[in-house]
Amino acid sequence: MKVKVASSKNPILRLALEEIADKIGSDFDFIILAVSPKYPFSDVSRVAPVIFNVDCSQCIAFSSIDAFSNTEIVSEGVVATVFKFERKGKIKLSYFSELSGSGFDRQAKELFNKLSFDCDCVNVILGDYSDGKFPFVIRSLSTLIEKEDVPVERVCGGIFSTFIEGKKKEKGYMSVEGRIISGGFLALTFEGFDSTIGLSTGAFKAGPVYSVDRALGYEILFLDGKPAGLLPKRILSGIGEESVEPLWYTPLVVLNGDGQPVALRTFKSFTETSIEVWAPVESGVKVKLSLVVVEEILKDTEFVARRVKEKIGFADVCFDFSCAARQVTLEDKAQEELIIYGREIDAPLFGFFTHGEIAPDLSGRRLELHNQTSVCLVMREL
Amino acid sequence: MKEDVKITIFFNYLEELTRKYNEVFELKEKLLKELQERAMYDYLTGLYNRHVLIELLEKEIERVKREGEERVFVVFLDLDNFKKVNDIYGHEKGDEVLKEVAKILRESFRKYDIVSRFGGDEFVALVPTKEGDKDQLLARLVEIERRIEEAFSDFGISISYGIAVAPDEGVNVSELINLSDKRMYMMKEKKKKRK
Repeated sequence: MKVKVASSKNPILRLALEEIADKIGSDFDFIILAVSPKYPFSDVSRVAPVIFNVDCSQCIAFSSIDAFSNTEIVSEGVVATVFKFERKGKIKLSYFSELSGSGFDRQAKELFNKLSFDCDCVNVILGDYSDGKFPFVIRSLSTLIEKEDVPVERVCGGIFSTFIEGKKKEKGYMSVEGRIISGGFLALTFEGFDSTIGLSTGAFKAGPVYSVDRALGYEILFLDGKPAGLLPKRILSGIGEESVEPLWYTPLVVLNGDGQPVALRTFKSFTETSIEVWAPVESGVKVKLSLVVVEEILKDTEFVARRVKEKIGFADVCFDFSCAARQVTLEDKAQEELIIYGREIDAPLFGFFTHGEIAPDLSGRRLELHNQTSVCLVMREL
Repeated sequence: MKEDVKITIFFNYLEELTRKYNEVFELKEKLLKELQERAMYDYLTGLYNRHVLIELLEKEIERVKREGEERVFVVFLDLDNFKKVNDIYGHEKGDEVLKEVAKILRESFRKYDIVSRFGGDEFVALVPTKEGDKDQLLARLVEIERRIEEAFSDFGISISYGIAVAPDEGVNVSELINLSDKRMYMMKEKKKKRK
């Protein structure tokens, strides 16, 4: 498979897409566009197929504030990746236009039926946070994958990134088959591929452990029998402002029954009594307060990149779904991570800073929605 | 992020780690203490249990053997007619009686005497003493008997006891316990005959 990645930061959408079209040409079978929410998204599905001279079914686009074009972070621009299949490879697209307030199990079942778990397939799920509904679909999907005993290492993806005003996250858009959809999700099933997924955390292995005595969805109410809100208060003590960003340096690591880390959770907000995180937490689990240090993150990414490369040998493409909170904690080293992937995997790289990463948990047993991680998918056409 | 904010976060994290460590350490100490107490004391009466009594008696025997002048009275006490309480009024009532008897024993012996629940309705006390103190001990036992009979007159409960003296009558734990038990049984028999 031939893959190209190109980008533009031209403030006019049409001009940005034209600039990309000049770079990538027209010899490809499928195109994915990560489009900054600063652009009028409603124009994407109309303009993109014309400019790239493809059928609507060969083009998808989604909202992303910052996306990756090989080793470059493109802020508030457009990044495109195109695929030209040369052997057995093909791509199957499924999408779900609306997430209802309930019935996550039903939607997860529909999604599950659309995915393929054959050994030469891998599924990339991209979706909008949808006011916190989408993570519950992923949770139900995880349960189904476990119940049906299908390989969990065939699924990964990320949540679109959109601007956050106060506590309110704007809706993310996607363009699928000529339609603009707000608050939905899609699955790209790559068939005829060898693939491997890596997960980099960089979180400290040691740290104080707490029992989550009570949690409701994204809200942790009691830790060790005390109101959970006391913990962020202590961590922010002496800082003055009560902004949540400094807490991104101390994510919570969810532990399984054996005390092994399975997933990370980033602080979203907190009150005197409770904590809100970016992905659901269940009552009864234990969490470890971790500390992230730039050098540790990069070291872990290097380790993960080497491991996936060793497994796959040669890669046609590398996808990176990396958390926006990770971007904040990495500061001016955020690009280093892409440079590491580029150097170690040596393949075109496409991805974006997400508001949640979908990948197998750290034990490799269950599908998880992570925070503050970097999920790396490398593929090779068979 | 400003450097000073990151440094504060780092120190607060360390403080949280230390706080949590101390909390876990204190909890561990507390649980250990509880566990030790559970291993030493009888759960119902709060008196020393049989194992501790035997251990302490071994130490007392060694001590009196070394010091020569001191003696240890091993007092075996057993309730009379206690079985009837359990049979007629149930085990809950029986437990109440045992707790009350333990209270009387605790109050009647000296603070440095060792009082234990040996099992069921049997109690053993170790009374370290000097020669010539046996009369005082007997007077105390008569008082215990009176208080128990008074407290449980409705059930007809009394107490029988037997005494063995270490090291004069033995320097072996089971020997001394058996001897005091035998003497307690003789007292019980005498009481029965009197009736």
